Amino acid sequence: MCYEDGKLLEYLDGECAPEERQAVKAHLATCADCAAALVVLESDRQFAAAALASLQPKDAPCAPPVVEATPAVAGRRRPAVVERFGWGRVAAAAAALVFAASFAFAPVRGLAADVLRIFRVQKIQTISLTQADMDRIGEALSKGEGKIDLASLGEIDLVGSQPSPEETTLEAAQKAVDFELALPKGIEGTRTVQLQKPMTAAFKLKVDAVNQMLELYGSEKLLPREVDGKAFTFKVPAIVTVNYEVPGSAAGDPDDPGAGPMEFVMVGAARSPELVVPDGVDPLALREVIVNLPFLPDNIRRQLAGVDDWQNTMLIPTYGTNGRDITIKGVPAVIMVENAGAGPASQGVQGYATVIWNQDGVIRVISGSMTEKQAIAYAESMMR
Amino acid sequence: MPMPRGDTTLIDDARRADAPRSAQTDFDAGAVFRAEQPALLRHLLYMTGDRALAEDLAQEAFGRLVQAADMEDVRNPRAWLMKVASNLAYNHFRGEGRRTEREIRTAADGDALAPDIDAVVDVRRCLEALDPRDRAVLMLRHSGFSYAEIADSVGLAANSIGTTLARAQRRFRDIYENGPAPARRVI
Repeated sequence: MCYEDGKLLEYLDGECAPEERQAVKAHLATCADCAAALVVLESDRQFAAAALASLQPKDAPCAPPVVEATPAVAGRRRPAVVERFGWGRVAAAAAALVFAASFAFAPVRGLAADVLRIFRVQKIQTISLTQADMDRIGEALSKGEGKIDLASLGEIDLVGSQPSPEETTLEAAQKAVDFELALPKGIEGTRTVQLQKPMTAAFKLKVDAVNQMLELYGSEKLLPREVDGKAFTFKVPAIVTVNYEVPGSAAGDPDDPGAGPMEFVMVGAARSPELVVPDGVDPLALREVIVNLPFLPDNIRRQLAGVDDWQNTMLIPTYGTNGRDITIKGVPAVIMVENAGAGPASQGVQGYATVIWNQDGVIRVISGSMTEKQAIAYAESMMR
Repeated sequence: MPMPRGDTTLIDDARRADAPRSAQTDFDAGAVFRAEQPALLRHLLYMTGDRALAEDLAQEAFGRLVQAADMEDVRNPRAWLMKVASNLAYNHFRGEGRRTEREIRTAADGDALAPDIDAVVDVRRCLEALDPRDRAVLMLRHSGFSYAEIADSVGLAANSIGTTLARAQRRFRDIYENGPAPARRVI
């Protein structure tokens, strides 16, 4: 006999009495309908968790401030890290996850002048960005509210973008990219593979409008005139994401390891995105403008200015103190850990961990409901 | 900590029969306040989103604790405070009623450089569009309370929390993605 959602959720949340848990578990092994219902329940749970995490007070390490709403495809569940970050960010697979916010485009090391216009990521480094910083930036920006028409600042053309990645097989995804897809060792569970096809965004800035805005904010450095009307090209290559659905590890029950909540782990890989600056534009002049933006809090400005290797560095904002630079098998990486809710009875629920690194020109990420230690172990197993 | 009410009464009666009838003598209100106030306030701020209200409710909860400690043994002040605070927040939700009419989406300024960014959905407004009990159960669960604790705070049987929570999570997502249902007219 099938179970109602209420009972299944009790099971999922570890709130069933032991005998009942055994009965539900046994039933789930044989009933596809209930198993499917369980997946939907877990997905809803993750969704609510991500949204409500944004309400937690500001002295806690802050969750990403915006949860994007995307129309749910009927019957398709969204991976946990997507609930957390939204397709926009995940599709950029950490490579461009916060590329727009990183301010740290850097030329490829030492080649001819026109090659210096191509910015690619070779190194990933953290920049601490707290909720307080975001608030300050928000406050400073809000002074311009009503005076600036953002649409007037420029125009953008997207080529090849798709509303969301398409589901595919591992084999097909492997064919679509020119590097080896490395999967973590030791993850048991069902797996879906998604491919985001390459896309290019060409944008042109209207220098007068932008400079007017900069002046409004008190910037002393303005964009050079030669930027006007010239196309910047931002190329995002093919991105592969592999989403695992893993029966959870025990929420404190040594007798029944399979009884905990379902967990989701996402693995992503892509070549570095590329920003091409138009002919005749001095990238260093652009950098000057960005670093000197008056609404940047001092601690951000200091960190930007302190990036000693402007060549090949991409900065990833870490929220609060939960992110740091680490090394795994000699490869520099960034890890971000978010802990479970701070209620008095947290049921042993794990938080989320994310590890991002760049190896041999491929940016990889692993993210999901696991401990820091597990995340690092998985990442290590993906490195050659 | 949450026990079937019948047993609690019996045990208390037994204790009172033996012990001297006096207030809980080791209850140091000042110390408890200093220890518990930050977490209490944080919890109420999360639940209500309104600092002034959170402070009022925290004060109310604490006042009740002091009174209760006068009459009986409060074993776990933090748990007691959280339960009462959650209950006060729940009562507040009921007082507010459901905001089904309110616009819950506020569009971010059209950004010329990133036209695909979706509208920022106001999480709190979606919560306000839920039935007050669903809203309370949902919020309490996602700040780490057990089903039994939630049941205590909102006056439901523990074995109906699963159903309520499943419904609340589904409704919340529905509202978040599709907007609140239009107000139904009861004929």
